[in-house]
Amino acid sequence: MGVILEVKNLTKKFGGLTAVNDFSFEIKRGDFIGLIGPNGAGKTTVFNLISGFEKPSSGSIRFDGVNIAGLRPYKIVNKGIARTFQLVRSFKFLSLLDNVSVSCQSRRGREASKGVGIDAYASSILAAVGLVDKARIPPVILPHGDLRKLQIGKALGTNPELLLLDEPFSGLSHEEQQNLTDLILRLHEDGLTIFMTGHVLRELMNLVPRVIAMHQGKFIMDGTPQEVANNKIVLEAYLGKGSEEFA
Amino acid sequence: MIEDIINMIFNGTLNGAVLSLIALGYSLVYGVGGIMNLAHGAYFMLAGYLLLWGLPIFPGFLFLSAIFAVVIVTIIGGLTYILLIKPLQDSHVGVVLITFGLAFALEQFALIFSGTDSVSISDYILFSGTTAIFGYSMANQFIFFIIMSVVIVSLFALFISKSKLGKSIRAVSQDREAAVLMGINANRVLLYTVMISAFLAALGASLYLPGAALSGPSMAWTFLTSSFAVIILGGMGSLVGSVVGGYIVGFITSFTSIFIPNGPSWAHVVPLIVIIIVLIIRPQGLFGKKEIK
Amino acid sequence: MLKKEFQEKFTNFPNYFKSWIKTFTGGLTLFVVLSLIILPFLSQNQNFTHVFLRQFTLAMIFSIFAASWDLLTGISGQISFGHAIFFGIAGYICAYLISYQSYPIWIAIIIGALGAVFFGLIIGVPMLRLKGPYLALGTLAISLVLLKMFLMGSLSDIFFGSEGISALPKLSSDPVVEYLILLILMIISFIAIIQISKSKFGTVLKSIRDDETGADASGINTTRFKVYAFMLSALFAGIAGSCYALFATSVNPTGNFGAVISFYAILMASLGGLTTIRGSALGAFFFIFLEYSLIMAGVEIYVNMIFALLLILVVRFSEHGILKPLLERIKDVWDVLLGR
Repeated sequence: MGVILEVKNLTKKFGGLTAVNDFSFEIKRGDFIGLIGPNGAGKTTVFNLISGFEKPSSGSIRFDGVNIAGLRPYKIVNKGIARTFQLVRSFKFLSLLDNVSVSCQSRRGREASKGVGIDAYASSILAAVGLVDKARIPPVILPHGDLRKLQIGKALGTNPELLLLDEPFSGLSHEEQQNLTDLILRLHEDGLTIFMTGHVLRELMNLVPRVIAMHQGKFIMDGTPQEVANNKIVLEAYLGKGSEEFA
Repeated sequence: MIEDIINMIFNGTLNGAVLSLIALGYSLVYGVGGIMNLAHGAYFMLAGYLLLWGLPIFPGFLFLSAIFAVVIVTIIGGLTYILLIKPLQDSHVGVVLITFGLAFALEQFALIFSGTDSVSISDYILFSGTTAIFGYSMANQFIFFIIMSVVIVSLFALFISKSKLGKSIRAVSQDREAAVLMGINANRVLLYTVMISAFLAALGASLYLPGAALSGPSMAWTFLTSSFAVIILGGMGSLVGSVVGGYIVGFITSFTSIFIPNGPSWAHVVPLIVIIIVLIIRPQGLFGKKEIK
Repeated sequence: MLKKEFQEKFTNFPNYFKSWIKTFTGGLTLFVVLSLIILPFLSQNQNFTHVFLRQFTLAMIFSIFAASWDLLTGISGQISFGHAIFFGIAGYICAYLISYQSYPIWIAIIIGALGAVFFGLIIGVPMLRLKGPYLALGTLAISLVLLKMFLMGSLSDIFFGSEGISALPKLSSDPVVEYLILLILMIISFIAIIQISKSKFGTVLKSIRDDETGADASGINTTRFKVYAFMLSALFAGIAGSCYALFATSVNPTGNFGAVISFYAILMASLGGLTTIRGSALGAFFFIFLEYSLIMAGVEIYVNMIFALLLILVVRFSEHGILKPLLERIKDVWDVLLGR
């Protein structure tokens, strides 16, 4: 169980604004970690930096020992990191099966689907996320919960080792959340390393064994949900100064 | 040799003056609304032809003909937005196709009524004759134009920074949703922006073309290509970039024309080479931001 | 894996064909193809074969051209406003090889098309950094510059000047044979392009069209696929361009590189519906015959302007082109007749 992702002194500046400030942490293979912070804390920027959608201003990102900072997204995907997006995106005019089969045509996806054929592999992924009965339908008419599952399916099509989930629960009904939670837990049990963001604490805290908290681009702490929930700085970040009294 | 250099400087400035005016409007519309109006070059061309056709309508009152041309083109700009661009604002491909269609239609319109030959509209020259500077004689009309171009650009800069509409335009270009939340009617701002850009193009045409003559309706495409090179060099959406880029491209073109063997032939290719080099070395141009989609 | 897919398709073909015929588009396509095959044999009249039939041949050349554009823009989402580049380059290469190097016709056509593919590659690589309208303008700029280079100035003397090359042979001295050759080329090209768009590769192209960032996030090297799309599109545009050179028996800058040619591709494909390949054929035929009628009616000078207005109307009011809604109406009637 080695270190799969090592982030050191990661910094990202947008003009005068420092979105991510000297951020460092490690993820080991098989981990299931949540990244929390209030809105604007920089969580999505961290994800964008890891997945190649932004270039760091300084700092390093090593995946399996290899520096991936600044690589183009598709190259990072083909090293084994896949992500979902906070604002759901899909190929609107393609069927669900085709949506996933595109990912299966990445280098990693091709290798994984070699024996069975791309369509069969994509079907099995749709089955894994519970969407196989809608395989021929385009995403436009699907409910939000299904779209989030589709995103995960598309990410899985690239046969990732590390899955980044960006706010996967936002906008979901309670039932849809439960559904999605079951799926994510299953994926983790099957061996996938999962790194997830959220800013609504309750669902995250009950789900993950370990949490990293950030605020205004800076690392605050890394610990169990219990420890993080009781941390003074975290509480201040969420509730404003003077709120330690509410802990 | 000295004469060549002065020639180059003068022509470069002249080219820059024209290109900066055209590119300014083009860049404005893109920066504010994300719209690439491919009919922009056609506005310039059409203004020139309207000037020509206005001759018999306003005999002896040249001024009115220029106003006629500018007003009509500005209105066409407004109609372009209302009828063609706004309904298609969600589809990038659609806006591109439809403004391309419009450019073609306008070119054909001019073609039908005037044919492909070069036409001179020398009746409009306000300042005839030439002045000698450092031994090189320059057409007064062109000197007038260069001065006017600088004046217009400066007035525009004032307008954009001080006037209420100018500030609204800047607000919408920075963050459309925020501007709407502040009570700005983004739709109307875009309409005015397109009209202003058409106005600038028409104004430029009225001042420049009398000295330069109309080289045929296809000049719509030539000026479109050149403005495109200018805004790529200057940076997409940067107004300062369009002016600076305009003069740079203008100078490169005149330099090529004069100092490179077979110059005038190669001068045609300058915009393209500028585009390719900028894209390879620094895609965001001089003053632009990296495009994030 | 590819072999397995291919084997499956091959054995399933008869059933696949039968069920395809039964669909509306399948049946209609078959009907149209059969009609086109029978057409030349309907009359021996000289006027018919040498004039009327040749309009069909011309339409088929432009169908291939329009379909090539549709592959790049409608399927892959890369807007090309300079498709005349590929059309013209292939035509010139083909003309040059035949006139000055005495190459046999078919070799010249193939090399012309390959020349276009090469241009697709060298243009694609720098241009594909541009997206949407920028790409459109970039390709337009290149086509205009090429036009100028061939037309004016001293460079153009190397490239045969404004008169170009003339006195080229036709594909065949018999217009019926010419027609049939093009019919076969058109059918093969369309089958190829449609199969490309339906394949897994085509699905990736469509994903780049729908959401390029998403495709990137799915591990796809979007640049490479876009270049492939450019090259494939250039191939078919080149085939059309070479055939056109032989149809018109000459090449010259304005006739082969003019912005109008690019415009025609856009208009034809848009008329038929941007995302349907077969629509391009409909658009091309509609266009050629409308142009022919207008010329016959004596209003030649207004032709291009009418087409420009047509493009504006089509884009403004229907993303599916005008012919698709028309077809839908016909289909509705068809369904009613069949009692569905």
